[in-house]
Amino acid sequence: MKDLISPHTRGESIYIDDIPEPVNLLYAVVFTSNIPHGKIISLDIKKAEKSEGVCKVLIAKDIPGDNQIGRLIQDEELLAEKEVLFIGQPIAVVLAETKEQAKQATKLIDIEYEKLPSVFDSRKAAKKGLLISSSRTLTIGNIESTWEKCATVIEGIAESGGQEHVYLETQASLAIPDENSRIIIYSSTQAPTTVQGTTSIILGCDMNLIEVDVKRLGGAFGGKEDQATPWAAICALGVYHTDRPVKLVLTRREDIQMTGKRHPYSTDYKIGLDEEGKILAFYAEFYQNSGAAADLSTAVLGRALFHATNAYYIPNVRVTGYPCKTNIVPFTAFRGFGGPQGMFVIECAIAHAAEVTGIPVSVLQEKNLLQEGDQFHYGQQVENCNAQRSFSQVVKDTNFDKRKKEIEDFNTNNRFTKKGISIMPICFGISFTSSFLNQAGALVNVYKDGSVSISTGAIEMGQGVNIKLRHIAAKTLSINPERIRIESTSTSRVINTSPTAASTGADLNGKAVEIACNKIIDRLKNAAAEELSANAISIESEYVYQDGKRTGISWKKLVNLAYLQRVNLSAQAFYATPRIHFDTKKEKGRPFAYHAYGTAVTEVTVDCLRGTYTIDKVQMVHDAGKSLNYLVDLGQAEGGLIQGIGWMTVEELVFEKGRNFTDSLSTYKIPNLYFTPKIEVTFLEDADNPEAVLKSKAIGEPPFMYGIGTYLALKNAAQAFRKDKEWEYSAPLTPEKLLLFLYDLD
Amino acid sequence: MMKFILNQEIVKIDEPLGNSTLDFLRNKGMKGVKEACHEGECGVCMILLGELKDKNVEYKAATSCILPLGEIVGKHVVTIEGLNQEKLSPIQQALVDEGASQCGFCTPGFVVSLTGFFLNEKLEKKDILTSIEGNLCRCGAYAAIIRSAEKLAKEISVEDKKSQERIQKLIEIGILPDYFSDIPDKLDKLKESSSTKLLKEGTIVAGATDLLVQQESLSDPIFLSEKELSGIHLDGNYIYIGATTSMEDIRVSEELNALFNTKQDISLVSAYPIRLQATLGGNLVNASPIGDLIIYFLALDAEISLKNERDGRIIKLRDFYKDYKIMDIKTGEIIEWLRINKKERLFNFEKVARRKYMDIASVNSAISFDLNNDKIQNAHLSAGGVAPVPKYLGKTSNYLENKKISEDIIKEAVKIADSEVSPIDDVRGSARYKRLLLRQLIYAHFLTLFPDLEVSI
Repeated sequence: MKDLISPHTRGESIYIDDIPEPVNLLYAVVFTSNIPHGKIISLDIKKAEKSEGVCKVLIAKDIPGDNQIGRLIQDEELLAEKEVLFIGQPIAVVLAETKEQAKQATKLIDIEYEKLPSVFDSRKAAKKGLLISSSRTLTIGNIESTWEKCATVIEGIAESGGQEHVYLETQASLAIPDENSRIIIYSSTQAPTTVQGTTSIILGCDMNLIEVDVKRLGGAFGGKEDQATPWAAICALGVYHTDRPVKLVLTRREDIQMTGKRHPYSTDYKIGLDEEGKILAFYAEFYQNSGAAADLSTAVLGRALFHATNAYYIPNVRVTGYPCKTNIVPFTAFRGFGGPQGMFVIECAIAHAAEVTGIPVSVLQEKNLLQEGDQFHYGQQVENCNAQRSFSQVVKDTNFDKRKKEIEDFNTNNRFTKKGISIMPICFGISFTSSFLNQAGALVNVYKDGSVSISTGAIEMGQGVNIKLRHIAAKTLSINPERIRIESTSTSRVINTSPTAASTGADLNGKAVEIACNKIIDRLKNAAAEELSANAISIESEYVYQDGKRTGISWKKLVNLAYLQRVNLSAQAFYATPRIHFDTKKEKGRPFAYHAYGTAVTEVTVDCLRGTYTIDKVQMVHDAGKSLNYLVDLGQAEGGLIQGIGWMTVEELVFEKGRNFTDSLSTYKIPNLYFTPKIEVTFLEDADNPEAVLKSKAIGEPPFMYGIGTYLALKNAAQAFRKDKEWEYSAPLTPEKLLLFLYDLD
Repeated sequence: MMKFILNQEIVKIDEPLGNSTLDFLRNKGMKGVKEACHEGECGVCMILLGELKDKNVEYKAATSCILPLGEIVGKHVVTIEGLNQEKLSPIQQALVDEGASQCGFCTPGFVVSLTGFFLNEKLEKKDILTSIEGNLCRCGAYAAIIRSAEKLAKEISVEDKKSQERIQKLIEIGILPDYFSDIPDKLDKLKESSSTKLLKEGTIVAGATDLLVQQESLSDPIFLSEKELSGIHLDGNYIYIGATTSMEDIRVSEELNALFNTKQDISLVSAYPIRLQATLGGNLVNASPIGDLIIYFLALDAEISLKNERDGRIIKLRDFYKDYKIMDIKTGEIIEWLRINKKERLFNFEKVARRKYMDIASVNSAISFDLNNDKIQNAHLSAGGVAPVPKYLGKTSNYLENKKISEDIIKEAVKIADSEVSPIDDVRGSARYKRLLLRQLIYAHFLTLFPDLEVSI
């Protein structure tokens, strides 16, 4: 196998729905709630059961274990039994010989509800005391005694909308009966252990009776961290009852109606600055729309609080988050995991402060950037800080002040076409904020022909983790990467894995691979030493070296002689991120192994006659440490940015009384080819990261937040047209919102 | 029994012709053809469709999800599997080299679309991105995809080669497998033996790019594409456009581009592979209140010919639409053609959607008029998304007649237009946004046609 991408271009990479279908396969179709909140008075599945081709209709009482899929908080049923909490909540599942038959049968299910009052707005839910769990507050210094020392104090509201993942491969699962009640599940999940654990709870069996195997995902972006689980559990439940293989692949419409998205937030902020523009105090109350169940909401809320000050040092901070329970599909992880929502608010507050003080946004940003030794409001010290370095480099690379002046001149000379420019620095903490999740295992096998097989807990979903793992192994073993195969992720090979999430996939699993490879290298060196009766053995570029000189022992020979010497050529290794801890009572600690930094400059053009816009150019200086793979990191930087821009601009979820009216790709619009700006990515030089494998840095999520720069640039352009009107900090900034800002209706 | 060629193999099937080609292909084991939306929005199911025309095979890209099986009868269907050779093609290699594939789910679709680009004689080198505008990549690898495409356009030159000669050249440079050279003969033989029964009654299909979005399969389809209703020609004072002329053929039509900026205007309509499949007639009878081509031709004062087996009639397009999806069309009647006067006139088309390209408009509008001694004559103004029907703004058009263009006139026109429309809140925007947008687009018409016009808005 030459590279890992060629099969993609040939359409030969296998996703769940491409797996050759086993004989006797049953197709599952899910029947869901059509009302946002109500009691189930009666559920009649008799007609559906008798429908042609139907093998079984699963309902809550068919669950042999606990009807519970909540992970952080146990508050979500797999199949609603007595009460439905949102439109799209699974109630029953039809298993039939064909998908069409299953679908037809769902139409024959009769259900009666007693409707109950619903709430859809996070602030209204908070007012009614409807919270997923208690509120959470992080604080440093004393904001109350600081306000009076500030030259300027500003308050406002910032709103950011939800976001649909639109992973192109919809949620999918295939479960196959094995012998002795064991079940093998192929799932499009970022979290095989979660699928395994939850399925064992549903079936009331031991985890060792469930094997979850994952080759790759056709995109995930957080949407398959917790949200992949129910579909896998449903398939397994089907296998349990029928002893036949069961497949469930959601259609796009089903997927959008039934699965969680990025959390919308509504936030009150208050910011205080001195006369020079130093931020002295910041206060924010985040109302997170958590949806109808916890899912990952509390953790997502936590990260919004951690990143509430973005890349700035603020001595006095108090930020509070409320996870508000509403009757909408439970919201979930999405690239950035609350970080973008947190950063959006502080950037709005700074932009607002710039308007009031007359100090340019970029000046306020630069003045307050983090420096070595500063302390975050959660207690961690700032180390290896690249905030100012990336900021000043992008300012220099883009000739920012000159461009800004040129844009001002352009705007003076053009009536309906206005340009805008912005700077967006980021600082994103790397590690799961639940410290225990920061662990990983790897299994490295060297076959006697010298080929290598590696299993870890990492899931390949397009982020290139397999390319990175292969690079780490090739470098550590000092062999050609083509010898190395990255296996599927299986709960039978590597156990108790954390989800591939929080940008940590390569960091955690890569480190485990490095440790395992080093174990093997040590054993091989000993074998070579024995063979050559010599010390000072090293392995370089596929050969054994003795005293710095190449011997005749190639990698293949070496492996074979080690085998004959009865050396263990299989190594298991474990890695747990050191130095991280967090005290959730005091809300202080060192939750992150390190931080990723960077800064982007965005230029946009607004057509102020039509209210439409073009994102012209984004230039970023990003801190990727010592990159493990340039093309992969470049792809993450560019792709993350585009998703972030989508979140800030055209991606709008339209809910009407809990019903999602944007449940297709013709109504929910994601960035396309022409939407893409010219992007220039520069990776910060000399940015070796001592805290991660081979001095690299995580890159999956951080670039997403450069998208906020597009919002700020659009605001500048729009305000060049309407200088007199107050700006409402509300994202996404759709063409509709923009036009309604540019003009007043009579 | 129907026949077609699937990659190298002649396939005979006996399935309902209204079924989706994607569903068929995946059931047939073509797993490189992916499904992600089933409504022609994302391009992961892209295939090439080759049709024999005078001994040559003309290929076009098509989203197989909304392509009924009836449309592939007697044709060459090419999936990613049919493009794969032992070595990667230069297209596949370029995508690998630039890091243009992340999760990989969209990648086969991009490969197929880019292959279609090199097969297509109507697109120029600079238009290579047009060929992939109907492909979405959620990982957002667009920057790398653009780099790959531009590199390919730079390195591969086939524009001097036509038809089979071009195919030979593409085989030589490894973009197509050898077997493509045998396809014309194979298709020719297929033509003789292929027999499809045409139904007399059923759903009339002319592209199906919306029908198969609304329904999973079509019952009793009658394929208009098999009747000779396609093509654009001049006759007397008119430009005639056949009902089954594709949107893309309309976009690049020399006759229309001689008079209007059709190439640019219609690039805002849908996406390239859909425009290749969708037809004028389909757009007209679909009667969407936001139908782009309807709005376009309403403002050009178009007429349409309706005919049944015995006789025909010609009516103004603006008289065709009665109420939401209700038209002046009788059972058995089909639209034969649309015609517009070939005279020069001032014309402008505007469309605003959430996403500029490949999206359904919030509001669209078009205007045409003559200018005689500075006075507006023969004014026709249309607007979509503001009424249950694609709206011909008759009162506003009448008001503009014989007026000299001034700020006051436009202001008054805007007011009258506002009184003629009744937009509703929906997923494309709020009613108040649509009213505001219509006002802006009317100003945009005049400011586009007369950039020096002084108006305060």
